[in-house]
Amino acid sequence: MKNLAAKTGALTLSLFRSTGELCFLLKDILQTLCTYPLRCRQLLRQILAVGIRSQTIVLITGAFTGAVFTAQILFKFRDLGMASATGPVAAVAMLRELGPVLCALMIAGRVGSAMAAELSAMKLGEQIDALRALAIYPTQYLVVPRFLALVLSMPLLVALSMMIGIAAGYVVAVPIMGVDETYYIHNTKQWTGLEDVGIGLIKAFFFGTIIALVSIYKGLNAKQGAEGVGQAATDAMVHSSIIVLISNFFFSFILNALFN
Amino acid sequence: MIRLKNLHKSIKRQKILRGIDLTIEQGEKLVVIGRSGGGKSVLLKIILGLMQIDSGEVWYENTNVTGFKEQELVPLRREMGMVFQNGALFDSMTVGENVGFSLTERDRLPAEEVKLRVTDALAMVGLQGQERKMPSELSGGMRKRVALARAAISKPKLMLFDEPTAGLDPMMSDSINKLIIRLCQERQMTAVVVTHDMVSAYEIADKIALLHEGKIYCQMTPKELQAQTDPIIHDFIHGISGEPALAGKPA
Repeated sequence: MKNLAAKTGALTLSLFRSTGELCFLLKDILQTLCTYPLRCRQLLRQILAVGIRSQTIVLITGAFTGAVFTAQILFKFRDLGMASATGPVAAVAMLRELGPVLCALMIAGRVGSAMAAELSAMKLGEQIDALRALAIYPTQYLVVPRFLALVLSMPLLVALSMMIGIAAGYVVAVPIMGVDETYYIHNTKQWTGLEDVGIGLIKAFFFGTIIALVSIYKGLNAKQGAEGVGQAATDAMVHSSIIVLISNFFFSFILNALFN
Repeated sequence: MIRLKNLHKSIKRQKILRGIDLTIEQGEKLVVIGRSGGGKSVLLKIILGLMQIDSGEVWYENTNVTGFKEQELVPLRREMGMVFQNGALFDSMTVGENVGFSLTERDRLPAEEVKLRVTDALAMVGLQGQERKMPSELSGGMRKRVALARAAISKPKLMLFDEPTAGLDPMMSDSINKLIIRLCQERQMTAVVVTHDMVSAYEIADKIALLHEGKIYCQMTPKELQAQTDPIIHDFIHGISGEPALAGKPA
């Protein structure tokens, strides 16, 4: 019992410490953004790595999620005589939930873990100390471009995922499963609004911030050795995914209250 | 040029430095010797501000830099250079990009000028024409030379060397030692070299400081050190551990 209490206490303390350190990291990033010039070449390089090279997995994830979700809804709605209502249901789900969340999970896996692994390897190889020794501020050179690239790319990637998901849903519903095109499009337009797009994009911005912060934090605080690099990469993916999933619940309620 | 006053530093509750007092004069080549894990590399990192101290003072050219924030240290580090033990080369960049890094990213010099200075710096360390190689393609000695070229290219006033000859064959070690001496002579540079290699220490040093149990045990010229009969100094410089060679037999 004592042991359990000690473990719970240690876990709580570590949670508070990590949260505090994440806040300090964010403060350092924002302060650096305001006081140091932006490293545009580094930013473009990171946008290429984070945004442009993630397009394929985001497109595949969005397309198949939209397609399979539409098909499942349609299997049930067709029996109820509500086949044309599938369009708005699939669209709203893609815009508000599936697009941002699944895209964030894929990006946490692909980009977050790679970012943490790269930074941890640099830290353990004394390359970050070497940067400091060369009078380069690591937050300006390494952290800010990675943070901005992810925060800026995420809404664009989510928008891509939303669009392809809705398009894939249309392909499954209309040409493949024979739903009437006119009703499908009319209902989708009628029950889907700009607020759905807004909610998805706002979520995307915050998810990008979460993934970037957690991955950078894990990378810069990696433990020694090859195991430390692996652990940092795994933690970056797992922790940012969990935070995305939990925060999504709260974002859904808050944003719904704000937009409706 | 550098004054360290009563420095204390602990890492993970282990006391590494227990009151270091050390002065490094302008243009001097100071070699710091001491046992492995004794805090020599920590000392270099403290001088460069890469590590914070628990207590004490660090003075750089009449400025107390103790507790300076990262941003405040940036201008000071422009006047310093450090060669890390494993080179710490940026492994995603070529040798040329590594060497010219501070000129490109910090001083924002035009590409043509950077190219010329990189060529000169690589020639100085005997690695002409290696600009396009990746660090992973280099031997240990070559990596250290590249690291030296990278640190020296911006002509710092103070250079810090962390085990510059560790893991190198005697000839390569000698060539690195000569390079350090030549750099200091040509540029009137101050150097702090951390090493266990007594051959290198005698070759490079104007003065040698022995770090023992977290303190500077002595600071003297190589000649004075060799003449010492103090058992701690004697055992260290002659590599006598006091351990028995075979179980049960005295050393």
